[in-house]
Amino acid sequence: MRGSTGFVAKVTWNSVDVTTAGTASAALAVDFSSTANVLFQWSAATGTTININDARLQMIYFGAALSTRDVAPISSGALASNSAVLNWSPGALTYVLEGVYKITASLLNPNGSTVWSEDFFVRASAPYSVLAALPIILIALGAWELYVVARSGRLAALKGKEAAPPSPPSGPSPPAEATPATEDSGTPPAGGAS
Amino acid sequence: MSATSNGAIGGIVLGIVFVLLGQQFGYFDLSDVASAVEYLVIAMVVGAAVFGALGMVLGRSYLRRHPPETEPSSTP
Repeated sequence: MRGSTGFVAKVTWNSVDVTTAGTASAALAVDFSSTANVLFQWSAATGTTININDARLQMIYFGAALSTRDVAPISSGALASNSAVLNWSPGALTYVLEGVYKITASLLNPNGSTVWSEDFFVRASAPYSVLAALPIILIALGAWELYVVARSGRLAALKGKEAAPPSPPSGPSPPAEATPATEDSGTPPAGGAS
Repeated sequence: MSATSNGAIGGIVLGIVFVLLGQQFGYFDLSDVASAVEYLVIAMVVGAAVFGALGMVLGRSYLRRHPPETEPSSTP
């Protein structure tokens, strides 16, 4: 938990303290198709006040914020303690993504600088484990690539045949005995030179 | 394009797919860009090596089973 001296904050996700989900293996199981109730609570150091203007949740993927939700403005003045409720849903990402994601909860002052932040992890499941767009696309792409690799020998042989120079035309010739096959596919086929 | 390079390119794509799919199923955490790139690079290298070798084996196997046809020699 990062914050200024004496400042204490706590975030609960559907009444569960997010500090219990500080690692990917301890991620909170969530349903992307429903809304999560996120409660921010904070208090300034004893005898002081603090002005928190924005409570923010960011979903992080590849180091970038994939989704950002805010509760702002929260209050117009400095208070000794306060709270904010954010009903979080992934929005358009509901049917696109699943998996483990890092969420950053932060409290910002009116200048926009971060007073406190906490990272935690959520694990979202799609119906039947795969019914989100990205897993379906990835499974289809993987299947296609496996098919291409499985046919790589045939494709390479066909392309090698296309690249070979055409043999010069020759007159009618009687069928000859089949020559023994070799593995050297780089040599051009024997032409019917007179 | 040879069967080996064909397999290696397929292996690179499959390595990327493996990591992204692993994240979707909750096995990988791709939140931090450094660890995500690390996962992807390792998967691409391993995929290229494994599937490149597989492509080479499949190419040789195909040529053994379907030897290149040689045209008959013409007689005057």
